[in-house]
Order: sequence, then C-alpha cells, then structure tokens
Amino acid sequence: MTASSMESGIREAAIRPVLRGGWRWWAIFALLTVIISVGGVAYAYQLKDGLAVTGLDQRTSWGFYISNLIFFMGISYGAAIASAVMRLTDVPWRRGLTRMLESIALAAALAGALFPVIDLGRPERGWYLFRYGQIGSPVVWDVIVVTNYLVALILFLYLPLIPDFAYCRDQLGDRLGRVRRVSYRALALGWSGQPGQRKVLRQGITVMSILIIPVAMAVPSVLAWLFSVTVRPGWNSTIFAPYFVLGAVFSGVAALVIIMAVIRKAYHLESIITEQHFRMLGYGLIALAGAYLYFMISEYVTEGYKMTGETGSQLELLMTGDLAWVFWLFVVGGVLLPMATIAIPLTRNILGITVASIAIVLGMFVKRFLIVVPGLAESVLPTDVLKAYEPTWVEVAITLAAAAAIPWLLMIFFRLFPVISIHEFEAAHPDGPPPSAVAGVTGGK
Amino acid sequence: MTTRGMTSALAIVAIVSTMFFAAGTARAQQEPTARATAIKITQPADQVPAKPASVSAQLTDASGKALGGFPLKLYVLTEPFGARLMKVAEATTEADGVATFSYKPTWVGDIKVTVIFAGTKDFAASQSNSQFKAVGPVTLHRNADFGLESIRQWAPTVVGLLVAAIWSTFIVVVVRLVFAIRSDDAAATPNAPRAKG
Repeated sequence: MTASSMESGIREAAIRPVLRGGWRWWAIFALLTVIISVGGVAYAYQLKDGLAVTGLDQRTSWGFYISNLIFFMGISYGAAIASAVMRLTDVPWRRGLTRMLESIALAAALAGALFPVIDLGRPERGWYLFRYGQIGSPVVWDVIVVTNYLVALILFLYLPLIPDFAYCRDQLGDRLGRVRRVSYRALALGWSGQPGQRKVLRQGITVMSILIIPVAMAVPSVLAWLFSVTVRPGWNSTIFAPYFVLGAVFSGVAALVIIMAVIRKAYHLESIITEQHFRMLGYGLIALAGAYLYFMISEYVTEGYKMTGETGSQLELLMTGDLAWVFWLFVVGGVLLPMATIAIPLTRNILGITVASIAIVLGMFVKRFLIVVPGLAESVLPTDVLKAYEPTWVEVAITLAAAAAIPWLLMIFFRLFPVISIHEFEAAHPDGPPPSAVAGVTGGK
Repeated sequence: MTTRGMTSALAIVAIVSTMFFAAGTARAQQEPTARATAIKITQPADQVPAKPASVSAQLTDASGKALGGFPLKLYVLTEPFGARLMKVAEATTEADGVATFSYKPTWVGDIKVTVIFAGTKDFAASQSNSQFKAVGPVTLHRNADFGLESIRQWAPTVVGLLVAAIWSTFIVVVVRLVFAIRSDDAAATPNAPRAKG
C-alpha cells in the first residue's frame, strides 16, 4: 500500500462515522439511551424519596456511588495519563490510539463526576461546598482537582482536534447540515495548516501532555486521601495515593483495549488498529497487573503482620470471612487469569487480550467496592457489629446508566469528530498528500 | 609449658588478685553507711489522655526530713511489648523535697507510675509506686504539638498559587494558539499554496 492510498484509506475510515450512522449505530444508540433513561428514572425516584431508597444508611454512607466515582474517574485519568505518556514518548504506534484514549478519558470523567452529586441525596446542597467549604477538607481538595482536571481534559482533547475540525470544515462541505458546518468553522479557529500554526499547536499539545499528568494524578491522589486521612479500618494507609494512581492506569488501559476492539470492528478500522496495538497494550497490562499485585501484597502484609484491632478483623473479613469469595474472585479472575491469558502465546491475540481486559475492568470495579464498603461496614464502636450493605435496584440502575453513558458519549463524539487523528497520521507520513493541505487549497474558513 | 613456667604464671595471678582485693576492701572501708530514704507520690485522681498530668513526689530521709537538690526519675509501666518500666520524666527535688513531673498519658485506663531515687553515697536508693486513671476521649495526636498547625496558615496560599498557575497555563496555551492561527491565516495570501497542516 502506498503512502497516499494508505492516508486516503485512513481519512475515509476516520470520517465515515462522522457522515453516517447506519441502522446498527442507531440501534445501539437507542439501546444505550433506554438504559440511561432507566437510570434517569431511578435517580428521579431517589430525588423524590431520598437516599432511603438505596442500600445506604448512616453507617455505610458510601456504597456503589462512591465506588463508581473511583472506578469511572480511574478509567478516565488512566486513559489520560496513558495518552500523555504516549505523546511525550512519541511511540510510533500511538497514532491510532490517542484520540480514542482522550475521548474515553472525557466520557468516563463526565460519567464519574456525576456520582458525588448523586451520592448527596440533596444535590442542591453541593453548593454548600463552594459557599462554606474549608480548605482543610479533602472534599474541597477533590472539587478543586476535579475541576482543574475536567478543564485540562477538554483542552487536551480539543487541541489535536483543531486540524481535524478544519478538515471537516473544508472537505465535508455540503454533506453536512448548516449547524455542523458553522460549528466546525468555529471550532477550527481558522486553521489553515501554516507552519507557524503547526509549531504553536505542537507546543500547546506538548505543554498540555506534560500538564495533564500531574493534574490527572492529583485526582486519584486526592480521592485516595479522602479515604486514608481517616482512621477507618482498611483505609488508614500511607500507600493509598500511588495505589489508586496505579489502579487507575491499570483499569484505564484495559478499558481502552475493550473500546478499541469494539471500535475496530464497528468502524472497520482493522488496517489501522492492528493486532500489534493489542499486543503492546497487553504487555503494558501485564506490567501494570504485576505492579498492582505488588502494592496489594505490600498493603496486606504490613496490616496482616500486625492484625491490630478493627484493621485485623477487616483483613479477616476479606481473606477468610464473608467477603473472601469476592476478594479472591478479584485476585484470581481480575488479575492473575488476565495476566496468564496475555502471557500465554496461544491466547495473546485480539480476542484473548480483549477478554482479559474485560476481566480486569470488572475486577477493578469489584476492588473499588472492596475498598469503599467494608471499611464503612466495619464498626469502630465497641457496642456495634459488622453491618452488611446491599445495593438496591436504584443504585444498580444508576450504575448501569453511567456505564452505558460512556459508549453513548463516545458514539456521539465520533459522529462529531474523526475517531482517528488524521492530522497525526499526516504528520507521520509527510511525503503523502496531507488532507489539511488539500483543505487549505480548496477551502477557506 | 614447663613446671617452672606454670609456677611463675600462678604467682602472677595470685599477686594481681591480692592487689584487686586489697583495693576493694580499702574503698569499702572509706564509704560511710548510706542513710535510708523514702518517697511519697502525689498524683491526679483522673486524667484525660494527651493532657499533661502533674505527678509530684517528695523525697525524705528515714526521720522524715525533706531532702532537696536530688534527682528523681518518673517511670510508667508499659505492657505492649511485655511489662517494663519506661522512663518518662526527670526532675530535681526542691528545698521541701518535692519534685514535680509533667507527663501526658497516651492511653485510657490505669497508669501505673514508679518514682525512683538512684541514691548517693550519703543516701540509699529508694522507690515508690502509685497509679491513677486516664479517662475520657482519646485525643492522642494534636497538630499543634507537631508543628502542623502552621501549615493551615500558608497551605491555602500555596494551593491557590498552584491552581492559578495551572489555569494560567491553560489560558496561555489557548490564547497563544488563537493568536498564532489568526495571524498566520491573515498573513497567508489567498492563492498561495498552503503548507501541510
């Protein structure tokens, strides 16, 4: 395949979803909309009758909702950090992935950021955080870092999109409706591909790639401190922040593999997203799983050696008690088996790595639940006993709605802009006919 | 070794031993008999953990005469790693024989204390035991004691500066890009071939 035919193929593959959906697209979009709507109804019910309709109570005040916050935000900053690192190290196989990673990061952040509000029960009281918040409270730190992160993420996604918006503006022309034409014109900011523009854009993307790493790492770190500054059993730990960051990147990369597999098939991107992409990410997942196991063992060995007070009984609850089956299911099904699946050459293929990634994502959801809920269920008062938490249909429906919101948002994103960065493929093949150059000659703003 | 050699070695050992014994006897003969002493402890009835408790002890001789200017040590019986006495304070007796110690209990329950006088050449060593209760809320860690209180004063400024720096970077990146695109676009002539972009 020549450079020009390859780029032409890339452009067509990247633009195809922008131009038309097809009945499958609409069917899946409708199904996801129904799931999200059911979640919306459940939330309306919760708003009407209060948090009494959930399994939450005075003891276990953080259940599925806060687990979801950590889980979805984890996928988001994991994807953002992975994309930033790929950009900064300029790995050649990243070009098909960075747009997807950045889109996943934004979609998961939007889904995850809703959960603190949902968990409030009385959402209008969220305003009190801004009005009466004290800087000494980790909840206020959380608001600060999540706000910074969302803005950074939008810029991080938007900057590499500018040349592609210009391409849509100039090349798609009459095939688009008026609203979309006007939107592309505005979002392209007048991009014409001049060397000066490219230089400043490259610098801007580099600055944002550097900045997004500490800004994104601040989010899981502050979330971890939200737990570890308390003296709750299971939470009173000094390694929670790096543990959360690592868990985030682990689940973020696994989520990327799943979405990559779906998009590859649905948008016919087999020639762009190859098995090599999956293998490289698979190796990364093995390394991340090993590191996560190391952190987990380090955490439990230090606690298990002492077995002091409630922390000891908490550990017993996880290792041999009522929650042992969930914990060992996570260890075996969410970490060890996926590692083995990717490590064995026979299963180290697209299907095997995707299945392993699904197991990792489900496992990490379970792990977040095991971090949040048992710590609260364990009594710290001598007169009280362990109390079980069971989510109700309301929490399950809202959780499923949030999970459905990520592919739903991605489907919308990829109707609005190319799923693959045309601009970056063009930069990687300077000898071919760059689409933006064509755009510059044939069109204006 | 020959018989002669063995005899010489034994003789040397005997001479050295005799010298040490003689020196020890002479020293014992020089020391007068030390007078007996007694310690009486006064402690609080109940005490809140982490608040300084005032424990005092009076050192007297056998006749009840107060002994001033002598060092006393306060020990607490701890049990986490096996029962042992832990020295927690040291003070010198005043003219009335009373030494006052400041000690912060670190747990709730019985606090068993021991005051020890190590003795001098004139006064014999003595010790006394007592106990009191630590009750109430456990507030073992107070930020002020570790200097963390001062962090509250400058932390908001540091956080504010950090957030301002991040937002400034966002704004600089966007404004710079918008200006670069606008100026480059305006400079380009309409019919000139455009660069790859």
